[in-house]
Amino acid sequence: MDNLFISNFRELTGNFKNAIKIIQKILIFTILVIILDFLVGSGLDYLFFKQKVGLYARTTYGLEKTTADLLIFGSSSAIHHYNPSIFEDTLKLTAYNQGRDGIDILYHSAILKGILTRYYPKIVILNLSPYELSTALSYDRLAALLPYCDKHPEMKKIVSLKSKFETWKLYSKIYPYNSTFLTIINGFKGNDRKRIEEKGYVPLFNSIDTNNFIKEDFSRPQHIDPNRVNALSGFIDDCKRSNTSVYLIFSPVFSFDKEFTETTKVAMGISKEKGVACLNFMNDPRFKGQASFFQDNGHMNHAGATRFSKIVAGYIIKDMQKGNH
Amino acid sequence: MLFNSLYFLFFLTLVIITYYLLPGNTLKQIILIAAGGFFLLQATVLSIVIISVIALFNYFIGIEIDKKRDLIIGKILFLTGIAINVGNLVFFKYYNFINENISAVLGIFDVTNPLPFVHIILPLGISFYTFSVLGYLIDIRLKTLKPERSFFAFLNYVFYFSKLLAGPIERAQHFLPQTHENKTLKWENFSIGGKLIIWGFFQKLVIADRISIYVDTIYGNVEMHSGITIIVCLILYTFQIYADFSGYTDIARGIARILGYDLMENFRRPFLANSITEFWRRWHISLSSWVNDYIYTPLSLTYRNYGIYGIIIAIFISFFIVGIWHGALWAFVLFGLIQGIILTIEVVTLNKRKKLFKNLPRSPVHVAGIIITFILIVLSLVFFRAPTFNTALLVFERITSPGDFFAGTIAIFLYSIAGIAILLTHDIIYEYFKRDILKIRSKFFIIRSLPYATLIILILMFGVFDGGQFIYFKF
Repeated sequence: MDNLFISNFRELTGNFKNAIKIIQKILIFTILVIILDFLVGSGLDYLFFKQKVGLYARTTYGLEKTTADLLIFGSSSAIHHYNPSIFEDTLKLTAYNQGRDGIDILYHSAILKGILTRYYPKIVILNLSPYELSTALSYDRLAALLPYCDKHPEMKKIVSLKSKFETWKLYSKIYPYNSTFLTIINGFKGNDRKRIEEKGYVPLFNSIDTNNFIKEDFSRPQHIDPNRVNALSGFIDDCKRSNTSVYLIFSPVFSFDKEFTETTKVAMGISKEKGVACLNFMNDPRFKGQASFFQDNGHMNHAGATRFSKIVAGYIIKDMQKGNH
Repeated sequence: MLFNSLYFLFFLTLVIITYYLLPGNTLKQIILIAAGGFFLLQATVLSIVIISVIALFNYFIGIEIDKKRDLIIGKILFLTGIAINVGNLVFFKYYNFINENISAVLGIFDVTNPLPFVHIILPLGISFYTFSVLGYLIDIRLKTLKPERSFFAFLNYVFYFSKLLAGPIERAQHFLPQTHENKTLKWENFSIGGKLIIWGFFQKLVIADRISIYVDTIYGNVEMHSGITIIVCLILYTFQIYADFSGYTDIARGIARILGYDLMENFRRPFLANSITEFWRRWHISLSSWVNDYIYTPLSLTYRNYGIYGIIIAIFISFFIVGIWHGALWAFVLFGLIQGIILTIEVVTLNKRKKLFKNLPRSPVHVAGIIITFILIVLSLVFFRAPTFNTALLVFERITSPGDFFAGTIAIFLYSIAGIAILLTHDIIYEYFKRDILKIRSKFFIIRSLPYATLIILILMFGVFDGGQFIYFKF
C-alpha cells in the first residue's frame, strides 16, 4: 500500500514538473497565436473598412455614412428592383438601397439597429422574399454581420443565433473577416460597376429566356421560423419608435402560381397588427409573365425595376399625401 | 458531438486534464472508456449498448478461444465469435439492403418476400470496431496474439474514443501493449500530438469543407453543368475526401498521441502512387492492410494451386469487401469491383510493363503512372460521392457535354485551389525530399512553432466553421 502510494506520489510529482513545462510552452504558443491574430486581424479590419466598391463597401456605407431619408432593405430582389434615383425624383427625398444578396430579415433587423444608433430615416422599405420567414434559410449568412459587431455591439444578440459560441469566436480579431480576403481585395478595384452601384442599386440588363425557363417550385411547404418572425416584428417596432414610416413589399415574380406563401400570410398578419402597409406584387398582372421585365424568375431587369420603382414611389407619395406619413 | 466543434475541444481538454490527474493505468483506462461512452451517447443509446455487448463478448470469447485452442471446441468458439461479429455488422448495416435485393429477385418470379423491412439505426463506428475485434480473434486463433486478460485494457481497445467513429482500424497487436505502458505527461507527446491536430484541422476546415461547397453545388445539379465543370468537380472531390479523411485521421492520431498512444498511419501521400496497387498501400492503410492480412493473403494461399486465377479471385473477393464495407449500396460494391478490375490488369500485365518500360527514362514513366492512377481514382470515386447510382451514371454521361466552365463563387473556388496547392506541396516535398515543410530547425521554440501558428491563422482566415461532419463517420 505504501509502495503504491509512493509510486503514485512520484508519478504525480513527475507529472507536475512536466505539466509546468507543458503549460509554459502552450502559453508561449498561445501568445504567439494571439499576437499573429491581432496583427493579421488589424490589417484585415483596416482593409475591410477602406473598400471602395462591392458588397461590403455598400453595407459599410449604408451602416456608417448614409443620411438618406429613404432606405431600402432586402436581399437580391431589393438590390435589383429599387432604383433610389426614381424615389428621389418622385418623393423629393434622398434615398439609398441597403439591400444585400442572399440574406434575410435577421440581417436587415441588425443593420437597421446599427443605423438607428446614428440617425433616423424618414421612410424604410423592406422588400421580403416569399421565403423570408422560413426555417429553410440558414443562420450561417449572419456571418455577414461579424465585421460590424465590434463597432455595433447591438448586433451581437442576433449574431449569436448563428451558434452558441459565436460571441466567443469574436475574441479573435481575424474571425470576423473569415473567408473575406479575396472579396476585400476585389473591393479596391475601381471599375464600371462602381458607377452603376451608386446609391446601392445594381441593375440587371438581360431578359429571361422563356424557352429555357425553369419554373420555380413554390409549392414546397414552409416552416415559419419564430426568430425571423420576432426579427420582422422588431424591425417594424424599431422603425415606429424612430418615427420612421415602414413599407413591407413582396416584389413581382415572373411566374408565381400561388396566391400566398406561409411567409406572405404571416407578414401580412404582422403588418395588420402593427398598422403598417404590406404590398404584395407577386401576382401583379403588370409584371407577371412579362419576359421583358425579368432576368430570371425572381429578379427583374432594369426595365422592370424602373417600372416597379415608379409604382412603389407613386404608392408612397399617395400615402404621404393622405397624411399617413 | 462534432470533432470539428468547440464542444469537442472543451470535452477533449477536460479528458486530457482528468486523464493525467488520475494515478495508475487502470483509472486512466477507465476515463478513456468513459470518454468513448460519452462520445457515443451523444448519438444514440443503441450505439453504446451494441459496442458494450460486442466488447464483453469478444473479451470473454478471446480468452476461451486461447484456452481451448487445440480442441474442437476452440475452433467452434472461434467460428462462433466470427459469425456473431460479422452477423452483428451484417444485420445493422446490410439487412435492409439484402432484403431489398431479395425482394427484387423474388419480384421477377412474382413471389412476395416474407422478410419484413426493419427500421434500423446504424450504430456509430460499427464498421471500424467490428473489423478491429475480428482481427483480434483471428490473431488469437493464429497464435500471433495472446488474449488480453485485463478487462479495462480490452474495453479501452474497443472504446478508445478518438478512433471510435472513423478509425484507424487499429490492430490489437499494436494497440493493446500500449495500454499497459505507464502514461506520464511528456512534452514530446503534446508537441507531436498538437501538430497533428492542427494539421488535421487545417486539412478538414480549410481544404475539405471549402471544396465541399463547390462539389455540393455541382452534384446538386449535375444535369445543368458542362463536361469541363464536372471534370473539375470530380478532381476537387478527390482532394476533398482525402483532406477530410486524412484530416480526421491526423486529429485522431494527435489526440491519441497527447494521451500517450500511437495510432497507426492511415495515409501516406496516396496521390503520389504510380499504380493502383501502390495507391492501396497508401490510402486508408488500416483498412487495406486489414483486408490484405485477413482476406487477401489467406485466400491467395488457399487458391495458390490455381496460379494467376487464384490471385484474381482473391483480389476480387478482397475488393468486394473493401467496397461493401463502406456501405450498403451497389455503388460501393461497384467501386470495389472497379478497383479489383484495375488491380487484376496491373497484376496480369506486370511483367510486360516491366519489359516495356525497362529502356525508357524512369522519371517520365513514374509521372505518367501517377497521372494515370490519379485519373482512375478520380473516376472511380464518382460512385462514392454520387447520391444515387443513376446520378453516378449521369455524371459519366455529362462528362463529355459541351459548355462553359462554372466556377461558382470565384473566391470559394480560388480558396479551394490554394488549399489543394498547399496539401500537394506538403506531400510532394515529403515524398521526394523527405522534408516536412512545417518543420523549422531552430533552437528557439517560438521559431519552431511559427508554421503551426500560421496554420491556425490560415484556419481563422479561410476555414469553413459551419461545415459538416467528417465523410467517413457515416461508414
